[in-house]
Amino acid sequence: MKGRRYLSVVAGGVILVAGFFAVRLGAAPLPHPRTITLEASQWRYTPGIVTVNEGDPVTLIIKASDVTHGFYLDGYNVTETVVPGQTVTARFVATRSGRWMFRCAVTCGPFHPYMIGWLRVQPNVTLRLGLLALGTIGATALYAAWEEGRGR
Amino acid sequence: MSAEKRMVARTAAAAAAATADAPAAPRDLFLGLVPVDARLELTKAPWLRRLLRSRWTTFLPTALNLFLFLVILAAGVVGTPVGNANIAIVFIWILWWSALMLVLVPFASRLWCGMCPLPVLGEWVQRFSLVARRWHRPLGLSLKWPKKLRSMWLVNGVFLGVAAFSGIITTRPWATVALLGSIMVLGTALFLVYERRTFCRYLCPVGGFLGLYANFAAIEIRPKSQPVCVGHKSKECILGSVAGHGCPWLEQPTNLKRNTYCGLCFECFRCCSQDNMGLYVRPFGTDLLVESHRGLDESWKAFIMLGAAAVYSATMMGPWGTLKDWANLRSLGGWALFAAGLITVLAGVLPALHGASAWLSWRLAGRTVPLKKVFTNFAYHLVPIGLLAWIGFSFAILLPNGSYVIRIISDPFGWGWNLFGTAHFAWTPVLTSWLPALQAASLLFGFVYSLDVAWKIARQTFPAPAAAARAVVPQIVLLGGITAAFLWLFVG
Amino acid sequence: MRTFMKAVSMWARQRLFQLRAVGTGELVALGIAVTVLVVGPASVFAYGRWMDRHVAVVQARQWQYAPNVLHATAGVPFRIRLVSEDVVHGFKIIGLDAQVTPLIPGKSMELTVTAPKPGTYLYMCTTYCGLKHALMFGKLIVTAP
Repeated sequence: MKGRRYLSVVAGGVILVAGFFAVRLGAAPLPHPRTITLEASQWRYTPGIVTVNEGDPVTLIIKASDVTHGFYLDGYNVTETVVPGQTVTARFVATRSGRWMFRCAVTCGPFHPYMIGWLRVQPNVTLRLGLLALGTIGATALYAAWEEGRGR
Repeated sequence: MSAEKRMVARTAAAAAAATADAPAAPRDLFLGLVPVDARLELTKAPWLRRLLRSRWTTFLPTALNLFLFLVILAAGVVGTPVGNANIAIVFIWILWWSALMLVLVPFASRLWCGMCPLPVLGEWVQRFSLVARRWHRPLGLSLKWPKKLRSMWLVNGVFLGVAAFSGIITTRPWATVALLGSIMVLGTALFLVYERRTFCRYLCPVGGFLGLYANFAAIEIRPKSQPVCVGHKSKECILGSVAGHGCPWLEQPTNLKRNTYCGLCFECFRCCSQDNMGLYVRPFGTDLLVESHRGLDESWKAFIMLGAAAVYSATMMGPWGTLKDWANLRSLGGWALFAAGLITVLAGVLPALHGASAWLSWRLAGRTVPLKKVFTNFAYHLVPIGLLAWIGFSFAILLPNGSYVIRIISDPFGWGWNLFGTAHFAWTPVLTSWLPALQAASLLFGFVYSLDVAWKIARQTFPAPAAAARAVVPQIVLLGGITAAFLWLFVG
Repeated sequence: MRTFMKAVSMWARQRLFQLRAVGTGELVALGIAVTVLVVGPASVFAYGRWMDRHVAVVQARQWQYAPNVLHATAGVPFRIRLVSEDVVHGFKIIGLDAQVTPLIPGKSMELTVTAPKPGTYLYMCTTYCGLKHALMFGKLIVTAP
């Protein structure tokens, strides 16, 4: 019983390490430049979800349609202010994979702190690692329950 | 026989029963590491014991909080309507809420309740004193709360009602203050009608989730030795003594088994002439394994809190503008949809999912125990994942917005003051590049802990090991599904 | 009625007796409570008001200024503090060297204006702030000294 528990822990560890390389291997397309137009309004970005690949040089063309808004991208430290009628261009290379929130950086009304969009930089290693850990732990637990549940 | 004497008699009997059937089971471990019954008594340190026994230990923090709360009230009424420039929004929803979730609940149980300014005016009037313990009948009617309402159901209802307006309440200073002000007014009024902290126990919408999640906390107040309590007939901790009030929370400190309704006011430390109360550090989640006092009301609290973390994450941290418009009451129809959806998910869909997995567990384990018991017991393993999901959500509130606090202390009303010279501190997101990792790690910790608690609850519910193991299978699947959904919301 | 009065007077006498029996600790606590409830908030307000004694506070919101009429004396420096109550606005007095752009909510701006001669000056929003942005203005009336 005890030996089996340790075995499952070791097996889980091996799967995790192997999986870590697997999530990295998955997709590695050649980077290609992307230009995305982002419209900021009270209190959303359109589109709300921007998807790019890791390594892509990204150009964001940001406009504000009602009042002055801002743009701050978590993890990349990109900050912009967007005045209505003007166009702001933000450039960065999507070097950090995962999902990052971009948020309004200039107070624009009550829901300003909730004015958020998502940048997905594929492959989403954080998500894959999380799901892998979740699956490994869950599967180990299920296996243990199955083994213990067989004997009546 | 007076009600209080009856309570004493019941306590003595219960305490005697508790000592009689103490089983000599092998030590159970949390995560295979920490014994479930591991305890570290903090009050062995004489200075801490003296501190907790002092009546000022409750009064001073409460007075400070009352001051802040009055400033917050004023800011909501006369301050700027800009949320992030008003102390009401910044202190309550950024500082206080994050502090509750990240620090106070997991590490200090309901310590907040011990220094909460909302009911304190009522309590002062009720006791007719501020710090001194004066021996007289409490002011007010001191009625007993109706038996039928002695549960968390009312709190659940109030919380759902408040949650439906969360978009407004967390962004408009006047709405925050209207909510907190009405809690204060209602609380003060009810302190004069009902005995002790009836309001905090059965009505406060914050108290409800603090109560449930306090069972996960790493700290507890318990009697040091049961036999001392059993042998001591004067029951000062229930009735009060010259040194302290009888438990304001209507608990029996002699027989305290879970943290749910212990508000850490430390009155029992002051009352006890035997010096028999202790403050203990313990592993997380211990009280989730306590079989007595479990109920459907607390199960629903667990569903509601878990669901609220998901719905709030989607509305406040999600990219869906329409959902935000609904929560923000842009149109009445949209808001009705949001409110109906919120209530359905929190009080209907999640319980249904849990019900389905509980039914499967019940079938797989051979129907040896009532289905209702399986349902109720297994609801408690939703507490670790629920709290850790809230912790993940709180990181997403605190890290980007925490810097407002520095500015707000100099300009609490948003009038352009500069009390301490920090009024022009710019909005600075802190460590947001670590946010996804922190959130994912919180969730995984919650998942592992919930699995562990689920397994322990299964073994407790179904005495046969094989049946317990089979019963846990649907619970693992459910927890995996919940964690995966949160993982997607946070980092996907 | 009489029994009621009797009960009330007895209750009051008991309370008074207890008040007399109050210890020093309770009096200190009473002092703290009064400070917290009255003196503290009052002094916060008083300090703030004292700091604001020579400033005209102008709130900008969609789509008006409050107040939308200001009074000043020609040749005398006049301090204005601008606060936005909702979104980003701006402020400019036409004909005088006085402009704040942008005026961000939560970030108050101060400027000192000296109008050389009497007359009526218009001030207006300088950052597009929504539909009725063009209607957002007020006037500064400058009188002779």
